[in-house]
This record gives sequence, C-alpha cells and structure tokens, in this order.
Amino acid sequence: MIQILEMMGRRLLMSFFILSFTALIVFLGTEVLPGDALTATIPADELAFMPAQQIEDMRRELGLDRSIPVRFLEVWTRLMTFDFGTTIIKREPVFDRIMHPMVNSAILAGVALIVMLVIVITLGVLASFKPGGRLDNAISTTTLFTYSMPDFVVSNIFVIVFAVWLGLLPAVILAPTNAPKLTILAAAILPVIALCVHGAAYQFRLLRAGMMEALNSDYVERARLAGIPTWRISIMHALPSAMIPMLSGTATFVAGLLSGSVVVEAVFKYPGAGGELLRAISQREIPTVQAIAFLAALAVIVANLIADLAILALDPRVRTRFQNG
Amino acid sequence: MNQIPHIEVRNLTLVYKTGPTTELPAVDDVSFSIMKGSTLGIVGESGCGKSSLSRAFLAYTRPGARIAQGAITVSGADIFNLGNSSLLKFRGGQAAMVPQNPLSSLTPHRTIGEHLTELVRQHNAAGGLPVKNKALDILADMELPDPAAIFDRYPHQLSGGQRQRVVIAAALVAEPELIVLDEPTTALDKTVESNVLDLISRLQKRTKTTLIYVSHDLNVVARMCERVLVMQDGRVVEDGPTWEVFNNPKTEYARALISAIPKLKSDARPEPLTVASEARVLTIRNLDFTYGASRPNVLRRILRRPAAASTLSDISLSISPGSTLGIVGESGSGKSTLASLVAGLVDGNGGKIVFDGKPLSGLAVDRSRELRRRIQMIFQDPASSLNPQHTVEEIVSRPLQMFFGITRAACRDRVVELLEELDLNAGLLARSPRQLSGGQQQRVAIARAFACKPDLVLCDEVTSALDVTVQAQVLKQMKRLQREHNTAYLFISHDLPVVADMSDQILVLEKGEIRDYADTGTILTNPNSAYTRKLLEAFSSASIHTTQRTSKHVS
Amino acid sequence: MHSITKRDFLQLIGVGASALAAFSLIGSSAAYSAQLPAWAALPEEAAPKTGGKLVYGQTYPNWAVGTSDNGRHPHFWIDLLTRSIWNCLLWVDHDFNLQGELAESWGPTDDTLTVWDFKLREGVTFHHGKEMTSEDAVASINEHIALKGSSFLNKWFAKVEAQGKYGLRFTLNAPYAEFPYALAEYRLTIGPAAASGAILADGIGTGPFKLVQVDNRRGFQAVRNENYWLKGRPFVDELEGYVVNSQTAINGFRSGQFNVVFNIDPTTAGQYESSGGLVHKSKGGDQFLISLPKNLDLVWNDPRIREAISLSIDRDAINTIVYNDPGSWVGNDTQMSGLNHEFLPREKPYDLERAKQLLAEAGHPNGLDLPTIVFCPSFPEEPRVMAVVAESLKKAGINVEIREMPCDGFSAYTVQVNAPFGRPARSLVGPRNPAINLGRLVTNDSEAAAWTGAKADAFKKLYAETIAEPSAEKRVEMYRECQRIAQSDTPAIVLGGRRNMLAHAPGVKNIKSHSQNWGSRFDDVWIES
Repeated sequence: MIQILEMMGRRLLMSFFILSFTALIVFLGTEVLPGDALTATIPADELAFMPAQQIEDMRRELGLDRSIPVRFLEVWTRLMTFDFGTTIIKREPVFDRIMHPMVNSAILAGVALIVMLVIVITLGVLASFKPGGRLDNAISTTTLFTYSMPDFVVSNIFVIVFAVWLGLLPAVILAPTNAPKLTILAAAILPVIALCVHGAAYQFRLLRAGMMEALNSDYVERARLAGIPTWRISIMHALPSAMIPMLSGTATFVAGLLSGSVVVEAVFKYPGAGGELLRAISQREIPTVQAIAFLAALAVIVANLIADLAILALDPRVRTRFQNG
Repeated sequence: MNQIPHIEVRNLTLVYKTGPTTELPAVDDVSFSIMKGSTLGIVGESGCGKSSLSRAFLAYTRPGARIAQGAITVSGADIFNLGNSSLLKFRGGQAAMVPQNPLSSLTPHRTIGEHLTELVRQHNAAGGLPVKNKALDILADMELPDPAAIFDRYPHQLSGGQRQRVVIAAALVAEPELIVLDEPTTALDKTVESNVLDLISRLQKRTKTTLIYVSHDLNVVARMCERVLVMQDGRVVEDGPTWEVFNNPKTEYARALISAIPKLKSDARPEPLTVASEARVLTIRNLDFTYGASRPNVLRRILRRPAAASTLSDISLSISPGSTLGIVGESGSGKSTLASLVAGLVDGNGGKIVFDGKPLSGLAVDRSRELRRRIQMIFQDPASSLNPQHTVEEIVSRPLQMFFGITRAACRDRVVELLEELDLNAGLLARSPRQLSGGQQQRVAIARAFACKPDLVLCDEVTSALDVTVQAQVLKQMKRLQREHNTAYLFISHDLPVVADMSDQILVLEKGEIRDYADTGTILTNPNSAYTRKLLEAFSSASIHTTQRTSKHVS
Repeated sequence: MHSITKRDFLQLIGVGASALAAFSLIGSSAAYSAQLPAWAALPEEAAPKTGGKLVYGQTYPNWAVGTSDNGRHPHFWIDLLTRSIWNCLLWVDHDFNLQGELAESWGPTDDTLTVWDFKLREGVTFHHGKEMTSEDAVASINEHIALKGSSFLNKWFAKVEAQGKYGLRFTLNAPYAEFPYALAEYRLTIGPAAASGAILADGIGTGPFKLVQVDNRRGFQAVRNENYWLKGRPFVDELEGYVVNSQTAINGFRSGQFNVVFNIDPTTAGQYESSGGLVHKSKGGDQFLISLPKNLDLVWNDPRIREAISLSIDRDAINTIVYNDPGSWVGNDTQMSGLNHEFLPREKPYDLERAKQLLAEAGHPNGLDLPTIVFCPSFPEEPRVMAVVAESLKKAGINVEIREMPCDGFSAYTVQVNAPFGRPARSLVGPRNPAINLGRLVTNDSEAAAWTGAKADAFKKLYAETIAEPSAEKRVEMYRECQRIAQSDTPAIVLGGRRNMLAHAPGVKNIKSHSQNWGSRFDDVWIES
C-alpha cells in the first residue's frame, strides 16, 4: 500500500510539471495570437471611435501592458493554488463562471465514458466468441466506419434523425448552464450517444486487439483444452488482460473525448465548458482559458491515475512489482 | 493387457492455412493406436507436427488449422464430431492437456485457487467434498508445499517447478483417462524436471492413465515412455519400443536427433587449460550482492523498474583471455545476477570487479564507452532483446556506427561478413527479427555482440530456448568465434552437459554461494560438493544410457 | 414586405427631403392616439391576437457577453435586442427616423447645439412597480458614461441634469446637431436609480417583457409586462431567446423549438423556407467598406484609379446574387447607408466604359494588378460578396486577390503594418446617422486611409460646419455636399450594405428585421396559431 501511495506521489510530482507546462503552452499560445483582451473584445466599430491614448490607458488599467513573464508568473501562481482569479475586463471570479460549464462537461464526458465502456466491453466480448465470425466482422466493420466519422457529422445526423424527423428529443438544448444536474443529465442523452459513436469505435479497436492477443495466449488455450465454456473464457480469462492496453491509452482517449465534446457541445448547444473555452480564446480571456485548460489537463491526469489503479487491480504482476520496489 | 485400443488415429491429416487459397499439412496421413494405460512418446524437431498432433487428441486445432481428413476415436467415440456440451465434458473430463509453458499457461490475473475451483465446478469433480477442499487435495497430491498458501497465490508468485505442478494438477482435477503432455518440462531446471517427471510417472502408474508425452528432448522421452513415435515433416518415420528406436534407429533423421544430444563426458575439453597464463580478463573478488541494499536514485526509479535479482555472497572468480568459465546452477541460484553485475545492469554492494587490470565501476551508465564495447551480453530470449522495429542490418550495424564510427553505407560489408561467420545468409539483412527462426534470431544477437569486437561476452542461457540440433550448431559457431577473436566467455546455463561442452572451468552456484569451482574435468569426475554430485546424478539419470531400465516395462 | 426599386427609392429620397424641410430640430413622437406613439401603429386590417410564446434563436450574440457573467445588465444582455426588457430614451425606426421611446419630445435649447432638453413620458413604471422619473434617467445615463457604454455618447457628453420630475438637460462639450441619435443606442437603457455598480445590474426595466431567468451565455425567459406603458402591448405572453450558431438555429427551427431566428445566414434562407419558414429582410445592414491606404507607393494613390475601381464593381449584382434584392440602393463610397435620408447615390455607380477610360488616362490602358485586400467573413455571405467584387473588377482588367482571413485577430492583423492605416482591408460600417457615418472619414484613420489633400481638407471643414448647423434643412444639403466631395476623390470603396434577415414561422406576425440589427423590437409582434 505504501508503494502504491509512493507511486501516486510520484505521479503527483509529474502532474505538477505537466500542469505547469500546460499553463505555459496555453499562455504562450494566447500570447502568439494577434490582439489582446481589449482589442479582441471591443468591436471594431467601437474601437474606431477611441483615440489611441484612450486604448493605451485602458490597457494599463487592465494590466495588459505588463511584461509577458510577469503576467505568466501571476497566472501560474494562481493556478497552482487552485485560485482561478478574475476575468480581465470585468474582474469577475473565473471560478463562478466556469464552475457550472465544467460540471456539465464532466457529466457529459463521464456518462459518455461509462456508457462507452459498457458498450465496448459488451461488443468486445460478443465479438470474441467467434473471432472472424459474422458478428465479429459486422462489429469490426461498423466500428471502422463510425471511427472514421467526424464528431460533428455524427452529431448533425443525430439531430436530423432523432430531433427533426422523429421528434424524440430536442434538437437544441435550451437548459441554462446552471440548470439542475438531472435536467442536464436528461439533456445529455443525444450528445452522449454522439460522443460514443466515435469514441466507442476507438476503444473497441483497442479492446479487440487486446482480446485477440489474450485469446491467442497459452492460458486461454489451456482453458479451452480444459473444457471451460467460451463465454467464461472470454469474460473471466481474456477480458481482464485485454482491457489493459485499452486502459493504458486512457490519457489519449480522455483527451480525445474532451476535444470531441467541444464539437458535440457546439452542435447540440450543450451548456458545457467547450463553448466557454472557444469564447474565452476568441476574447483573449487568458485567466479563463488557463483555468479550463488546467482543469482539462487535470481531468486527463486523474483519469490516467484511475486507469493505473485499475491496471493494478487487473494485473497482479504489476501489483507485485510495486510491492517489491 | 487390454486388447481394445483406447485411442485410434486413422489417416489423420491436419493442415494450416498459409495463404488465401494455400494450405500446408502439419500432420500428414498419420495412423496408429494406443492401448489403455500405456505410455507413448512423440519426438521430433520443432515444426515436425508433434504439437499439432498432440492438440488433435483433444479435438482442438489452433486458429488457422483444420482437420483435412481422418479421425481420432477415444474409447470408441469420434471426438471430432462431438456436440458442443459433450466436447466441453470430453476436454478436461476424459482427456487433459499439460501445455508446454507453465507460466504463460496460467491466467496471470487469477489465483491458483481460482484456476482449480473453476475446473472442479466445471467438471463436477468435487466428489462430495467442498470445492476448495478438493482443490487443496489435488495441490497436496502434486507434492506442493503448503497448498493453502499456494491456493491464494498468483501464477507469477510461484517458481517454475511449482507452476508446472499446478498445471498438471489442473489437468488431473477430473481424473481423465488420457493425459497429453506437450513438452511439459522444457522450461524447467534439470533437477526440477527430474522431480516433475518422477511425479508424473508415479501418478500415471497409480491411476493407469493413458499418457502421451510430446517432446524434442529424447532423454526425457526415453525415461517416461514405453513406446516412441519419431515424427518428421508431419509423418511418423519410426514407431517402436523406446529402447529399440534409441539403440537401433532405422532412419538417418532419428540417428541425427540422437547424436545431437549433449552428453556428459569427462574428457569434454580436448585442450588442457593453460593455467600458466597470468593474464586475466576478468577477476572478481569477494563480491556480495543483496537486493535492495543499493538504492538507485529517484529519477531512475521512476523511469525503470529493477529486475528481480537473487542475492550473492563472497563470490571470487577469474577468466583468462580467450577461455570460457561456465556457471551452472538452478534458477534462483544467482547465476543471472552475477552476469547482471558484470554487465553493470545492477550495482553490487561489496567486493570488487576488475576488468583487464582496472576496477570496473558499478553501473554500465558510469562506464566508459570503450568498456561498454569490450563487455557484451547475449540473453536467453533473442526475440525480446532484439528491437522488432529494426531490420537485421540495422541491429548489427548499430554497434559498428556507435563504437567504430563506421558510416552507415560502409557498414554493410562488415555486417554481411559477421553474418556469414555465423552461417547466416546476406538475404536476411532486410528482415525484422520476427521474421526469423529462434536459432537465426540468436545468431543475429551473437553477431551484434561480436560486431563490438568484445574481450568478454556474457552468455546467459543462450541456447536454452533452442532445439537440440540448432543448439549444437550455435554452440559450435560460438566456439569457432571464440578461437578466431580470442574472446573470453562467461557462459551461464542450467544445462550441465552444455556447460561442460563449452567451458574450460566450471563454477557451480547454489543459493548465491559457490559450491564448486574447478577445471571442467575435475568437476565432472571428482566434484567437491554434494550439490554438484546431485546435479551430475540428475543429468546422468536422465540420459539415454538408462533406457534399458524403463524399457523393461514394455511387454 | 414589398421590395422597392431603385427608381422608387430615388423618388422616396426626394420626397423625404421636401418633407424634412418642414421639420425643425424639435423632435416628438407625434401621437397617433392618446397612448400610442406613431411608430407603434399596426398595419391596416391587422387583427392582432394576444397570447402565445415567442421563442427565438439568435445567431448574433452580444459581443460583450464573455466579459461579464451578469446577464441582467443591459450591457451584457444575451444579444443586442435589449428592447425586450428595457427601453431607451429614443429609437431609430426601420426607416431610420428618430422616434420617441421613453422621451416624449426633445430639442436643443439654442443654436449652439450644446444644451439639449428632453421631456420624459409620464406614467411609465418599472417592472417592480416604481414610476420612472428623471432621477432614474440621470442615474442610468451617468452609469452608462462611467461604464463607457457607448463612445457615441461619451465623446460629446459633459453632464446631464434632472429638470423637474420628467425633464432632462444634457450639456455637451461641443455643438452636435445629431446628438439625440446617440441616445437611441441599444445599450443606453433606463433602469431604476441606484448607486453606481448596482444600477442596471438587476434586470429591471420598463420594457414589454419582465425578465424571469437569464443565462447570458445561452438564453433568457421573460413574461409579458402587464403594466407596459405602451397600452395593449405586448401581444405575446412569453418571450424566450437563445444564442445559437447557424446550424443549430436551423436544427432548432426545423424541430419547432424556435419560431423565430434572428440574423440568419442569407445563404441558408432557402433551408428555412423549405421547412415552412418565412424570411423577412431589412432594407439595409452593416456595410462593407474597402479601405485603400494612400500613403505608400500604392497604385491607387492616383484618384483616377480609385474611381475606376469603384466604377468597375457591379454592386447591383451583389444585391441580386447574395441578397436576392435587385434594383435597390448600392454603396456610394462613403459610410452612408441608402436608408439615410441624406444619402447621395453616385450618378452611375457601375460604368465600365468610364472606368476603362480612367485607367487609360492613368497610364494603364491594359488593366493593372492591385495589392491583396484582406477580409474576414464576419457574416457568412461575405465570401460570396467578395467573389462578385473580384469577378467584376477582373472584367475591367483590374486583377486583385481578395483574401479571406480568420476573424479572430483580424483587426490586429490589419493594423500590424503601416500604422495607423494598416493593410488594404475590408471594414464593417454599422449604419447610423449621417454625422456618425460621414465622421468616420475624418476621425477613423483606417477608414479614411490616409486621405489627404485639398479635397480631404474641404471635406473635414464642411463636416465640422455641418454638425454644428442648427437647420436640418441646410444640413441635408451639406451632408450631400460632403458626399459629393468624397465621391470626387474616392477615399474608400463602399460596396453597400447587407440585408439583415430573420426567419419566422408563418404564425408569427408583424416581426421585422431591422437594418440596425440591434434595433428590432417585440412590442408589435403577435402569434396566430
């Protein structure tokens, strides 16, 4: 147990560096873009009537005239203490603004992740019963197809079919950002399915590869030769090790899920952090961009940590290694 | 005895798919029958079809294979036409398989107890006992110490011998009438193998089970079986009582198989050792190693996990240039740790290692590039030590570029030369390691080591994974390379005959301590310790000279 | 809505001019009945129904939303249609006439045009029941000034004082004849008096709907204000609005979630119509101005070439192809909109012969290449507009690449070089009163684009005289003269305005898209099921 804590400690140290690095990249990224919070926010029509001196004065008031390292250090120190600071123009707390969107996005991504795992594991087990069989081929072909479909295409097709044609679900989610989370959950049905179409395909391919490897292993052959039924072999013998490559790819996958949810949120008008992030970027609202990117990176890191613990639970060999060292 | 054959194989042909429309027979029109309670050995080189045949006894073919014609009947039932539920009952219930590799044959994430209780339930084999008790009983039958503790362990927490016993226990749970053993002891140390074979023999005699033993190891087959089939290219080329086939092989193939077995001979090494030579390429004095005593720094602990290692105490030895020191011991004796210490993969914590007159610093990363060039290592499993992403040419030319600054273009000639020294065709240059046979892979690894022009090569079980005939070839080439390059070998193996064949001197290790250290001749004829004598006994009792003893069972 | 032909339009302007002659600077909302101002009159034979719910999608969110989370504040309202909850003192109607909203009448105290008196409508109550008085108006205006709510107001403002319960007096820092227009800007709403910082932040207004809930990043819900000062209005029980992107708007309209969508992409009008929607388009909208910096060694430093460029552009083709509005007004190379009564069209806006002749005179008989001009598609139809421009220039032998750039960071990119004029680029001009429009050629460096010389000086001088001229009648002629001066030197090219469009379900009646897209209102809309 101490060793596992030690591993987590090490991970936290790494996370600190990763998060600092994320903050730096985001900061430099927004810095490279032309314009600042002032010029990006005020429409050109208005700016046209402001003398240069007035714009300079406003810039000074907002602290935009300070040097890049000073501003970065300020943002970084705040992030590391989980103080997300205030917005540039109106000095409102960033946290209040992003809290609900982040929670909503977490609901979307979290539910999608769970639904996806259920779908993927079910399909993976079904397909493994007869590798190369009709079911396996059907699932593999379908997932290859859906894997190559961009999220926005899937989302729009869903809207047209389920909302416009069938009228089963709303095309546009009208619930406000701070709606009760049950309302958000109900509204998340189509977005979740849209996310799953692409994500599940990706995960399924990893799982299937893992299943194929496990099914070709000596221990599965031994189990077959010992008269263990196929379903039991798939679920009890092959699945746990087959899930390990899938779990190892969690960081990539969760990152993909988050970027996919930006697209899906836009199509369904889901009240998540994606739209907030896009707007913050276009308005050079650096504290908000930083906070969202920071929390997203944190989500990826935490997901990865959970996946590591799951691997630990699934593979006693890794466990022993940690206990020894 | 019983006049009705227990098993009948009729015109069996088993083919593998090799392309969209092409198939190749692995078993080609084979027919024979086996009486109930008898023991049959099937021998041949790898690829001769013996493993495919062994699985066919359980009505099983690997993916890509199919039964093209013929049938196998067990107790009169055509096993290829069993329904799904009767097939599940037949496998494990009436016929059981003991597979080759005991570690990879146990599901890594399931405890030993889960493995056994699953089978007890599946085949209703508890016989009125609680399921767990039945599982514990069978573990006890396998002469495993502390079955209750073993029950809760995971496969990787057991030693090789223990795992093999567990696999055998799993096969015997439902008291099958037929047991097929496919190279069950290949991966084990000789002494352990000997014990496991004894156990199998005793169980077979007690239960009167029909036993089919598949192996490339003729010694073992001779010891276990009354009757032997020799297979070549999917066909049975010889079939007869074991002693007759061994003492009087009819085919060239069988003769070659038998003569390739390394034998223990006291006059193993023709040239006497030049003790007069004062030069020592490697000297080790009072070396101690305890795992965990030396702690690598934090960064390295994050980046790499340490290999499991055994302890060593008070090891002293020396090797002259161009000579071979053999290290023999069972797994866990510390022989691989010793190699790791010299190679600098781990750091010792007591004693001194001197290379070419100068002290050798602990870890390889702290050594000069020149030192790293001069000490090379070859491992047991070439498949995992060769980068699968690289071609043979890239693998062998890398040290040339790194240590000698030869340009990529100029490398090729040298690489071809090195490969030819090991009888490897230049046509293999563009292949990846996965496209090579085990023997070819190991020879590429040897070529890579010799590309560095080393003074000392550490060989850790380099031929253990190879067939006997291939092994004999590789050993011969290694000797030739040693002569031509005047390279010293630290040759590590659990296989005493192989070590004796290669070495000028032999060091016997047990539990991290030296039991014997002398010239090869002395070790073989006049060993100092009881342990070495036991080791010699294990090897000679397994040798074919004792075939006459087992052949008495044939009637 | 019937479209007007070019001829009709020119006549209209003539009529307007003579009608205006009768006007003085004193404005008032000439009463059409005791309660209702003239602009609130319904179309003839209209039989409005009360009730129903209007749910609109809005593709043009308030640009300031991201800077604050407080959606109850008019500055950070979800979109620019603040007149759903609030009222301003004045309103610019669909024909660009100034109309009284909370102000009943207004005018300057004398010919210096620096002191302006406003009389507020009596009996107007806020949503919470309190009566609106001059105290509220003064506090609100001062807050807008403090927040720099509109530079059109800030630029002239010196102070505002209450004159009794319903009187207001503005003092300006310079004479400004068109000052009242500034008070019609959508941000300058009136809320109940409170301390600075608290005032205007509570979502209480005098408007036709009372705010129930708002999330300014997404949408709002409001219900009818039963005590609206415009008696009998609004007709609709509930009003909801949501900010959406173009595709989502179509999805929402098709699925029946929205019965109105504001600011639709003109290229998607067909999609709305094919799903049973009706499209209403305004007569004007934001205008596309191409600035031509004249300070470097650029080929168009020769005014003949600038004029040739202008005459080569088939602007009516833009109206026809992009907006399906052939024969109406086209840009006249000033920031003036065709809806301004003072608008002076070029005599012959599209004249290939004359253009070729001018090019030959300037030494380019075989045509010429222009430097690249950049634009960003602030509006989705813009690439099509620019394609028509490039194509028609090519016909006159003028080759130019009009390059599309991302809108994010576009203005910074254009002013990156050649400060303060920047690159040759397209600017957007919001259609406003003539003083603001023409003033851009004087004050706005990048749109004036280094316009210098005798004509520029003459323009500047005349402009200054015009906005200080008390006589409206004289001003009209002076504005026209300003335009004449500009057109004779072509400091910039104005292609014309877009047509703001909205789509609505057939049951939604009397809803109109405004040429100032921030000027639409909901008072007069009703729903028939």
